[in-house]
Amino acid sequence: MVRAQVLEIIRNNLVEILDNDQLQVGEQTSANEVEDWDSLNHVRLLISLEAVLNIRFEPEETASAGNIGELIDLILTKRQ
Amino acid sequence: MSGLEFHHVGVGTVLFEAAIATYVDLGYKLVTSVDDEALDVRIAFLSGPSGPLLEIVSPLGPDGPLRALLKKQALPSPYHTCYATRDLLLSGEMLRSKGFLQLGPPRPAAALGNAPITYHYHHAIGLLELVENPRLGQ
Repeated sequence: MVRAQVLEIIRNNLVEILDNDQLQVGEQTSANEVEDWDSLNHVRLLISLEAVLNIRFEPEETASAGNIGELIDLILTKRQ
Repeated sequence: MSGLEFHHVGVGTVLFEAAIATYVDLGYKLVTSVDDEALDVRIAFLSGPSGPLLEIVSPLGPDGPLRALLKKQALPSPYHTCYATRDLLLSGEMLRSKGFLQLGPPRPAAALGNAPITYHYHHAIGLLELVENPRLGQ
């Protein structure tokens, strides 16, 4: 799986969680730049990503990532 | 639930003193009240003539754990349930197997005698707290 695919999966899940089909995000986007992407919705995102990507996040990994690129890095380490 | 004993319902509010006064007016008794700087919240426990303990939770600072709920105007309201366990790790693993995601490592809760607590989120029921061997009011 390549970074672009993971980015698209993250975006699709955020669209669903935030109920915003106009959402545009990139690797440099951080949660505090996106309306309603708060700590609760971040947890919802992680739970969705666990199901879609068949991965598990550890407790210390549930705090908001710095930006989407860092979240992609984390996901790709789990997919190796 | 296996190995878990119901402990309290957590009620989030910004009106800490008024919430305590209201429950006291309803017949509850204040058991303990602390400002937990590490968790960035004010905590009070109240016991009533029947039913579970109530935990009143208010923010201490602007970046505390209630920020998202406050922004959504979801408070004042009950927002979590808490269960006591003898083994936090084992109970956490049990919740994990049932679709809960643990939010961060265990942290001591000052209002419960510094007993370790963890929060777990489930997409269908929201927040569930675990506390290992709580010592209320110590």
